[in-house]
Amino acid sequence: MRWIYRALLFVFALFVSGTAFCKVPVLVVYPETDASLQHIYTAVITGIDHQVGSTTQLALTPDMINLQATLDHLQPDHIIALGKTAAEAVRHSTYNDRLWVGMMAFTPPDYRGVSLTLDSKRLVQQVAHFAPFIKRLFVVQEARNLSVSLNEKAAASASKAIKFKSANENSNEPDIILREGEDMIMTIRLLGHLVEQEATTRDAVLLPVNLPNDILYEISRIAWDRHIILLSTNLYHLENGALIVLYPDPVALGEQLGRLIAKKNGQSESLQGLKAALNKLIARHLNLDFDAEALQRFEVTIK
Amino acid sequence: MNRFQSQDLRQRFETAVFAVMAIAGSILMLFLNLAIAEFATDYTRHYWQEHTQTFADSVKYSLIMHAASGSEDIARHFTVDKTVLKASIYSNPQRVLASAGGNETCPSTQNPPISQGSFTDTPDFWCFYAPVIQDGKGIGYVELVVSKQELKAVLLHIRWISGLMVLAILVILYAAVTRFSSRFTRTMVELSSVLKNVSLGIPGQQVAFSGSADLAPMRDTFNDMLTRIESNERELEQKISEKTQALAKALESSEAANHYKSYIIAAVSHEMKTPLHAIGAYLELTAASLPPDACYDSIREFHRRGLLRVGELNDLICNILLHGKLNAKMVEAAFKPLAIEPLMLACAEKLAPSLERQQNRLKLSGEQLSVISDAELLTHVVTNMLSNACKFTSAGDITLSWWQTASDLLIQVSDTGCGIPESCYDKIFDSFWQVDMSSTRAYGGTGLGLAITKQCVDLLGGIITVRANGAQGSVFEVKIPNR
Repeated sequence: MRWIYRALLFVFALFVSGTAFCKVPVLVVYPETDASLQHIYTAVITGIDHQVGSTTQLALTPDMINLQATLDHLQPDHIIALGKTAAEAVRHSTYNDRLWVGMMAFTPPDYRGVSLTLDSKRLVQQVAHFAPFIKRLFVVQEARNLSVSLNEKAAASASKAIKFKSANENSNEPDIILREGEDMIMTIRLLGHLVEQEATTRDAVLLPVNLPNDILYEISRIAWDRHIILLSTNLYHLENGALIVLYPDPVALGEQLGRLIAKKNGQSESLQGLKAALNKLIARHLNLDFDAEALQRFEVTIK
Repeated sequence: MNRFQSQDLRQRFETAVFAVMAIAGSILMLFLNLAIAEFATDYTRHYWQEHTQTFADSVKYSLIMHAASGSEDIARHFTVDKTVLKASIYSNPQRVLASAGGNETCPSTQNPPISQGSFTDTPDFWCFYAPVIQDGKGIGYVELVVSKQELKAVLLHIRWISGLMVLAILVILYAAVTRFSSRFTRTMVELSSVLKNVSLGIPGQQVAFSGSADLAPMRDTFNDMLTRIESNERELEQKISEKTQALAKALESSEAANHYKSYIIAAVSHEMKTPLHAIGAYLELTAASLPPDACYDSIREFHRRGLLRVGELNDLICNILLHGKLNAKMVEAAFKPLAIEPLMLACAEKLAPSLERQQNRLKLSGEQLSVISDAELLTHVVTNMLSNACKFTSAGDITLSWWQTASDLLIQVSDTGCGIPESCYDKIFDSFWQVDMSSTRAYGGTGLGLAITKQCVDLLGGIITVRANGAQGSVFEVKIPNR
């Protein structure tokens, strides 16, 4: 009889262990949002799926009390957190070492993953691709909210006003001049000075990603009057004064994240997959002609 | 108030309704205006506070850029509205970056930097403040001086319109009340009219109002009541008429009987006195003609007693005649100077036969006084009191005393006789009344003595009282004012 009891106990232990732990390879955590933003997360997850196969998704709701318990139950090998809310939530769990982040700007080594901060090299390539007529690009940003990262930045960081030439002197890539403010007020002053006085009609200014709307209106009005080209990485700016907005391609971002976690020693990368949107009204105002071929490069155009 | 009192029921109703409506309308208008003023002021302040915040938002960029000219343009733009008297932009710490408009000076505000919207109030304008904030840090603030004139004008306008509206409503309501007041007051007016006619004694009054279900029973009840009142009045009048006629007859009979009684008494008394005088004269003549022999002494004694009885009978008849005259108001007082003591002695002398017969002792106590009075009436008073005392006293003492105070002459007659029960004090002065009025009574007389005494004292303007004389007898006291 004793062997029968042992066999039953073994079967029960297997059953209990099977229901208590559900090991998943990749868990994607993202905040629960309304339908208008949900498709972005869906697109990113689709990109991830392209690289790592199927993933498990977990939508964070405001009333989710214990993420730790959920993670304990799922036992993921990798956790990809999309957005700052999800990243912070996972960061405070015991699965911090398995965390990868996307859809947020960060500076290593705070996180690892794909930062929304653009690599300067990638930026000039994109600008040259979409707006080859731009000869000089002023990048204005707040020090604590970077939208562009520069490898050369460290060398000349003392001046906070960095200018560097493209590696290829004959290419269409514009010169980049970086202006960083310590805070938003300083950033606005730099931006205002630039738009009001320094920039010319052949120059473009990359707006700070977190520029307040009321200041955006003022800057746009001045730029409109002075025919200054405004660029941005914030889609909201497209309808409020920016000629071109470079924004992440969610599927490409997902694929980049998928590739990153597949690497043995992958850490952090800048965003590679970009899309562009064009405001044709501003283009007309600036007397910029985009032929059909050029227009096809833009994912979104508005009149 | 007098005018209201002189109004009829319908006018009072209209006045009351109008007064109530006027008071209600005034109160309503007052509170309405207060509420509107409060709301409008709050709303206006809120609006301008928001406007100031808009101003602050508008200048944020200029303030960040320290752009004085741009700031001034914006400030000037905000003073285009004539309600805005002044627009100023301040950069911290409290430095004017730009200003446009007038020279109004605002009262001191909270210590800068201003961290939230606020305002200060003056009689003529408000000063609104709004901070300019970037990244949670105040970089300056704006000040907007807003005139109150427009709000005051609007409130005045509202006040006029609401006043006129209330007035118009009151006029319409008053016209409606006046028009329909007859319906409301018809019942009361008819009741009032009928009651007035009833009070004037107009017979056959009935009400005819109608209307709601509760009015018909009220009308019927009221008409029944009027009918009963009228019927009762008729019965009462009939009874009063009958009683009046009976009373008139009784009075007539009484007067006739009284007259007849007086006539009979006078006639009988007169007819009795004539033979009595003759009897007295004959007795005196017979007694005088008797020889002086001792054997005729007993006869002479009989004559003397007979003459005494004749005298007593004569006094009784005189009293009856005097009572008749007093009742007929035929006696008047004739006041003359009078010596009291001789009068008293004369009265005492008259009483001598009675004193002797009753074995009473009379004591006189008094001074020689001279007063102004009627001697005859005073003699009747003293004589009757002494006679009364002597009649009810047997082998006792009778005291006649008199004296004078500053204002009165007092005469007192006390006896030690059988006395008078206290319960009879208020009756002893009635005519023909005696304590024992039975046919077997011990004391004789007509019961007129004290009645005549009282009537004489009254004629002299005095009062007479009676009280017990200790354990035995009575005390009669007369108080006659000095003239």
